Amino acid sequence: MTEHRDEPGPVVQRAIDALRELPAVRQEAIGRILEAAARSRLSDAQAHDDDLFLPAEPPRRSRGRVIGTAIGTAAAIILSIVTINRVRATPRGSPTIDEPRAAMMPMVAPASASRKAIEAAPIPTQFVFDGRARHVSLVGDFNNWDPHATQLDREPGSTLWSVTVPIARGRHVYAFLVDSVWTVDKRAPVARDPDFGVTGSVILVGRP
Amino acid sequence: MMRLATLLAVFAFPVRLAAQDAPASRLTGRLDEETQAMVLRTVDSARTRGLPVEPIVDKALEGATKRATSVRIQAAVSSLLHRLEVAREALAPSPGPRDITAGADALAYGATRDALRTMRAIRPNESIAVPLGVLTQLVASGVPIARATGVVADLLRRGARDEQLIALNDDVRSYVAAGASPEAALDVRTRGLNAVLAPAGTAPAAADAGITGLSPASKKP
Repeated sequence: MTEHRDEPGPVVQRAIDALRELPAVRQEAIGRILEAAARSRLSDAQAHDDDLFLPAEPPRRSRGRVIGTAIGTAAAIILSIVTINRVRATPRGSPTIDEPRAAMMPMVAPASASRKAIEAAPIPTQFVFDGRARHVSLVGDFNNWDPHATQLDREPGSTLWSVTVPIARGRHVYAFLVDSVWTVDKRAPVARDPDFGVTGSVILVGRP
Repeated sequence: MMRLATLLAVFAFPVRLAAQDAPASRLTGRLDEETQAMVLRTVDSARTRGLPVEPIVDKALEGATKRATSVRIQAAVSSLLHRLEVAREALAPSPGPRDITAGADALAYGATRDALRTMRAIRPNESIAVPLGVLTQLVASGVPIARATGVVADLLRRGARDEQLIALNDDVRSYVAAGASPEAALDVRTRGLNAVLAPAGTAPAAADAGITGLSPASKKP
């Protein structure tokens, strides 16, 4: 009984055979389908892109939102001005930038920007003076040439005085004031001074 | 809208004034009034031309610390303003303040505009403050400007890093101090550095190879 049920009859067998025959492949039809699929994907992507710029609903601006936006804009402007001014007020040796120059600077790639940030980062640099003194300070183009800005500390029980100062990469001129007397660093190159006729010392900063 | 304008004026105007006064505040108490006024005019002139103003203030303060006369300070800042402008032009199109300042220093030691242009062309997107500083120091050590420019430019093309250039300069200085001629010292140390650098044109490979400074003996002051 069971065997009879599993064997298809002649009519059913003809139907199975007819269905097994695949229709001829029409390359033109396949091409049309692929083209339509591509068009569909493109239009979907554009629709999503547009979503990034267009509001999902018509903009409704309340008085509060307008005032909030205005205050935000004002704060941004003030913050920008303060930032520019702070950077401009930084002494040489630290990263500096001037407003007109900033306006002329081209946009740079992020990798380049980070490299520039690394280049601009000050490098801790040690200055050492060896000698008997009551007071030693450091003056240079990295501290406003201010005799009171950077004092050296004496190593207990020795004649060595030192201080470490963060300085930007590049060439810098400096001197020690030993008990208020201008003194060059004997271990450093001499910087001749055609402007004022007082030689100083030179340090090239570039090694962390 | 009026409120917003008033708000902006109240907050922004004093800040702007403070910006203009930043160089003045640095100079106050360090220079007499006449000298300070002259220096501030030079600062304004630099700002108008889009040049960095800090080097000018620094130069005036250097003169004050060295107890230079007003006339010498005026001459020094005027001369520096001119060099900054020349350096900015030679290092175009987008030099940073440190590069312009280093270029102005190099010009003071006899470097030429072409030397600055050469350095910029080799490193268009990186700071050349250190290479220019090394160039300045080599010239100060007694190396002729053309020779110093050629060597530094060639080393940059080979991918020499800032610290390698500084090590080279330190070595040249120590050899000169020991009695060698500046040019001979430069030649010797350049050969040594060339041995660890890639040939010109394959600089990135040299950098990737992790090549380090030339001389472990060279020290900071």
